[in-house]
Amino acid sequence: MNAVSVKNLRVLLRSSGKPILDGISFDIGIGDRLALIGESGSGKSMTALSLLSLLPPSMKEEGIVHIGDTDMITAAERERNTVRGSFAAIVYQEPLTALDPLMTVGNQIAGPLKLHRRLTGTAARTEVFRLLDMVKLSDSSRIVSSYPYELSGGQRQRIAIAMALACSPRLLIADEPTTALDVTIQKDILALLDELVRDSGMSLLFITHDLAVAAKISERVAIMQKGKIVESGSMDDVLSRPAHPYTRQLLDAAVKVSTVPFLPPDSPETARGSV
Amino acid sequence: MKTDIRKINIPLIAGTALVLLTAAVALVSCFWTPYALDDTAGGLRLSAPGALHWAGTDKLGRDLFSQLMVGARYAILVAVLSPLISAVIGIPFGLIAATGGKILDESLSYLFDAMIAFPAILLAMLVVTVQGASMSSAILAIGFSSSAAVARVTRVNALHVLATDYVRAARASGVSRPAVLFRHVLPNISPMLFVQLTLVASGAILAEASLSYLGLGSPPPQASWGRMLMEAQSSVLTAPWGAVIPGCAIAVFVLGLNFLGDGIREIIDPEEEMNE
Repeated sequence: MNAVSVKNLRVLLRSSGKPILDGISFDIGIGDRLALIGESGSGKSMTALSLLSLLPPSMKEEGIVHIGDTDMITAAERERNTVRGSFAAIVYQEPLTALDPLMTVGNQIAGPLKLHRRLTGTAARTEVFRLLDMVKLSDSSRIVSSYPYELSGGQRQRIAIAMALACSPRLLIADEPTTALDVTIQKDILALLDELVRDSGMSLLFITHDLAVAAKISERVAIMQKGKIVESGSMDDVLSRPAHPYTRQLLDAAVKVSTVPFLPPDSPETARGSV
Repeated sequence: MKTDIRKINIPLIAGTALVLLTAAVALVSCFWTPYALDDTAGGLRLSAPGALHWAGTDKLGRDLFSQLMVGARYAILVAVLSPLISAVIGIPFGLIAATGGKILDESLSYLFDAMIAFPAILLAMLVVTVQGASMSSAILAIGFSSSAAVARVTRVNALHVLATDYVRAARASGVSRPAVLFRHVLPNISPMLFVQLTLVASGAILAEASLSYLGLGSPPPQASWGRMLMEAQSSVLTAPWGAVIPGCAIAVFVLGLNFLGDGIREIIDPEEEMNE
């Protein structure tokens, strides 16, 4: 059994029949990782949503999507709800909006615990603290009763991760989890994800537009463009011998950025306009 | 952040004060009025405001101030029950439109628009004609006709909340669609709904006054501000206070409700906060 098995997944607009995703296929084995790379609008996030059958009502999906043993496309909504959260979980891009502003952090993390593990009261509270420890949030007794606006972006993203991990999923889908964060915080969150996934033996689908980030977290990569996977394979192969022109473009762009010499804004060179 | 000293919210204070004033008058009228409503014993018809009759008397010699006080009771009743009815009808339909898929959403939205375009007073007259003129049919009619506006506000704000990451995160963690509505959507749209309902309340006061003025509101033993206006109409040139005083009462209460809505909006409006 694979954690994820996708064959010829197509997502179509109901109104016009225009394909958003066109013939996506990939597998992620138990404990394996895959980085899905592409620019905005290439269909990365759509892929994540369609794995859990969470597409907006204006779209429909065709093909085969197995999450664990469950065929997500034919399963009843009840079964899908069991898969969501207890077998597979998502961490989203924007930590500002990923938490309900009217709910304390403790209550939000306790939500999935109650839903899937029937934990309430003291048991739930203990578990919430264990999860906060797991994502390395100090001062957890204060954080539990805080509202999201009282916390920093990095703290919120750690809480979002804690929520995703609440029911020990076998598959974690991370949809650009570090994109909205400061560079230094990015590094911490990435290291945390890496460690959590390794320790628990979870499978990971890591979605990003950033080749460098992807290379740090995953050995396998799939490149997406315009709703299709244009190239996939081991990270080394794809990076050293890109076969598809789009992959080469992506690589070129990454190289160019890293070769621009960095100068602080008030350095004499910057002032003379030599950069 | 919690200890922020906010600038003084004048509309909220003024609105609360005016609404409480009306409520207090209504409450007092349950126990005491200067004269009984049907007391014409003084025989002073159309007397001007003075020590004996604080707001004067009408053409039958009844005390206007007593009528005004009892009228406040019905005004409060209208201001509470009409929004309640519009909420009970409007919120579920708004949520159904927001979650029911494209076809249901579009047909319901057209229905809301059609209801809003239809003059509320006409709709109310229709209900009153069928049900007979009474306070309860006026309240029912007003509540029903303003439910479309509530449904529209519910739909728009629910769509906004449904598109947020925390709702997507909740769905991704296995929370079912209906559970998301109760857990996340309703709490997050409740401030906007509350503002809308204060507007419904002030609109309801005006609508009830219009209905009563047309003779379609509460029948004579009850005193409503709108009916006081109607009865004062024939003598408005000789005894203008008969119309001016209930008119002012309506204006004060409606103003109070509008201020209250503004005050609440000022608290929740995020743009306002950014400007501070």
